[in-house]
This record gives sequence, structure tokens and C-alpha cells, in this order.
Amino acid sequence: MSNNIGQNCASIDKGEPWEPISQVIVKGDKHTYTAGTTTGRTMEVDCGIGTQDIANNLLAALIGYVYQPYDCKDALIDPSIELGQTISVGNVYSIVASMTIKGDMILAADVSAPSSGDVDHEYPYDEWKKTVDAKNIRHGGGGGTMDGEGITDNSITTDQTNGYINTGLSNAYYSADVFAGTVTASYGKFSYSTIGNLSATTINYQSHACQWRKASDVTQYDRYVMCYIGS
Amino acid sequence: MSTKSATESSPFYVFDIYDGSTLVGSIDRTEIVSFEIRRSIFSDKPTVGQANAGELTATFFMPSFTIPRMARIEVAVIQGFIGNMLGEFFIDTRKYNPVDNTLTVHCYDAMLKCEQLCPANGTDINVVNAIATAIGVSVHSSVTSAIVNAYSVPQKITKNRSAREILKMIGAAYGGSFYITKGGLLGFAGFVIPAETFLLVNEDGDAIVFGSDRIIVGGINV
Repeated sequence: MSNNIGQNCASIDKGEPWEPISQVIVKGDKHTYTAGTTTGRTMEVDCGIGTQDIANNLLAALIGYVYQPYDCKDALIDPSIELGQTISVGNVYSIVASMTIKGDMILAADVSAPSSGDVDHEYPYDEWKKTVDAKNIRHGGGGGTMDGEGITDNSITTDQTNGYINTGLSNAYYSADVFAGTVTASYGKFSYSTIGNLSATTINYQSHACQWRKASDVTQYDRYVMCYIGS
Repeated sequence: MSTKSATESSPFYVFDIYDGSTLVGSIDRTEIVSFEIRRSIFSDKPTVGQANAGELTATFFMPSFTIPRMARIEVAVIQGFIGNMLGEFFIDTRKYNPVDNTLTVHCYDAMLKCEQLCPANGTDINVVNAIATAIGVSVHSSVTSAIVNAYSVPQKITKNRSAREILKMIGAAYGGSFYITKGGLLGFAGFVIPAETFLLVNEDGDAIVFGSDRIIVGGINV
């Protein structure tokens, strides 16, 4: 439903429209899913039930959309107007995202689609930058327990591009623990990669206890891996 | 910008106060000192996956009847012969001012009740329906028309999370946010709006109508 109120407001500030949305990043419970390209605006979404399907569907719904911020004071609105509906005021056409109604001698409302506090990082500061910070690079080895990122069932996922992940082999040197899952790692916004299946039958020894490894070089013998993606 | 004259149709505000479903009294414009209703699907950073509670702050002269604890207030406005709901709220705090014999109440809408453990898991629409039931509201048609993909909301996600957190997740998955409508229903608002429809307008920007039909320009339906 569109609400055209013409010029009937005290003031209106039209904000700078967004660039068209071209990418969606869905931050799930443990994984991050990316769809689209970085040619335009990126929308980051926290969604605990996120999947790659959801990221794809979300991109399909949002792609190309140009968000128009505005701030309109004392607009003489239709009292039945609801959040999420469209509004035309002055030369602005946008969404009613926020509405404040004050009981007064006229029924007027401040309506807006705000943008304050929003910054479009063309090079976002996100997880991969955090993890190259020295304080986030942990050292270990021996029999200590390392923090794996999202060790679930028979797979390992890390959102850290540089950092240890624990393959979950509790004592690879002495026993025949086998990790037979898939290691995946993501760059947050920048890429997503599956490292490969580490199926193995028996592990008799531990090599590369602690070493920087390319994702594609991770083996079933690795107890702790400092993993990175790419060449 | 022009502003219409207040004398065209001065609004008449009414607060109907309920104890559950029982009307205990009404407060009208002559007793209302001031009020403000704030609602948003996002209030700062444009985003999706929100479930914000609407708020009412109102000051009025102390009524002759007793306002029960956790009372429900329906705010309505009457202009001419047309009445519209402005919202349905629940009193959270109240403060009496003996100097001028006024009471100030701060209220939230039913979204406030989502701060409880999520009552269900399963497909998204089933979870939304269960949450709506748990907070005592019905689901608006905007929800049933938007939440259609039957995404799974497993127990490992709902466990130890509030209903509001789960609503936010489901909203995010569909590119929108949940809110409580003015009529007190659980609604859904998408982030993306339909493309602009260009109407024929007068010099004030008001749509010109023939009967009740607006005229679309641009070769579509003139």
C-alpha cells in the first residue's frame, strides 16, 4: 500500500540513496554464507538458521534494490499507515521504517527510513582482518586442547582464515583416531572454500603438529592446523 | 512545505483500558495531557531481522477508575466519523505525579511478551504461529504471504533462545522484520518495497482522483 502525502509535512530531509544491493552475507549459527558479488552494496544478516539456500534466496529478493533514506517531520499521514508500507512525500519515495506519532491538535507523525549509524565499508573490516591480529593467533601443540571453530559431528568449520583449527583428534600420536569429516573454512565476506574430505583409515603418527598449511594441503595427519585459503 | 489546517478535522484521541478482555474504563482527549507512540522495523542501521517492540509513553489525569496491573491500552483516534487504531500496548511502568494529579505510563506492544523461551521448533511458519499463540496475538496476512519457504528451525537453534531471537532469525531469512501492527497482530515487513507508481498529482503533490480511482501516468493506465 502506497501513501502519498504530497507536500503535507513540516520538513523532509532526503538522504543519499544506497548503491544497489549486490551481495548478501548470512551469518549463521556457525557458518557464514555468501551470495552475489561485491560490485554494489553488501547486506550482512545475522541469521542463526542460515544456509546457503537462504543466502541465495535472500540475494534474489534483495539484489538491485536501492534503499532511500529520508527523515520527514510532522507528516500528515493516514492514521492507518503501517510499518513497511511505502510513502511518497515531496520527491521521496521510500519505506516507512520508523514512525513516531505525537498526540496533538493535528494527527501528525515523524516518519523516516533512517541511515545514521550505517557505514558502507567497501573494504569491510571483518573476520579475516581480526584473525591476522597477533593476539588472535594462538600457539600450541603437544597434548593441549585447542579451540576449534565449530567442531560439529564429523566436520570442522572455521571462520578464521588464519588461525588454528582443531581436527578433533584427541591423541593422534598414540591412537588410531581418525578424522573422517570435511574441513571447511571461509573468508567471511571474501570467499568460501571447501578444503576436502579427510577420510582416512588409520592414523599411526602425528605429523605437522602445528604448521601453516594451505587449505588444500590439510591432511588426515594434522592435529592442529593453521589454515589459510588460497595460493 | 504546507501544513493543513488543524480545523479541517481535529483528532479525538481515546485510550480504552482493559484488564484482560474486560474494558475497565476510557480516557479521552480532555483527560490526556500528552502521548507519544514510537514504532520501527529498524531505528538506526537499515537492516533486516528485527523484532522491535512499539512503545507508548502517555501522561493523563488520574482517572476515577483503577487501572489494573499490566493493563492493556488500546489507543484510537477519531477524525470526523472515522476511527483508527493507533496501537495496542501493555503497561510496563507507571509514575504518579501528585502535584498535578497525573499518571505517566510507559507501555510496550505485544512484542514485549516475546522475551520468553521459544515455544516450538520445526518449520518456520509453524514456529511463528506458535510464538504468536504464546504471546496472545493473531498472525497478520503479511506473515502468511511472506513466510513460505518452510525453512527448518531445529531444536538445537530454539533451545535456550527467546521467541524474539527466533523471530529475528526467521525475519532475516526472508529479508524483513517482524512487528506488531496497530491492530495488535503479528506482522511482517519486507525490506524491499515495490517500485514506485507514478500518480497524476496536483501542485501540492496530492493524487488527483476520479471517483476513488487514482491516475497512473507513464503509459500504464492513464
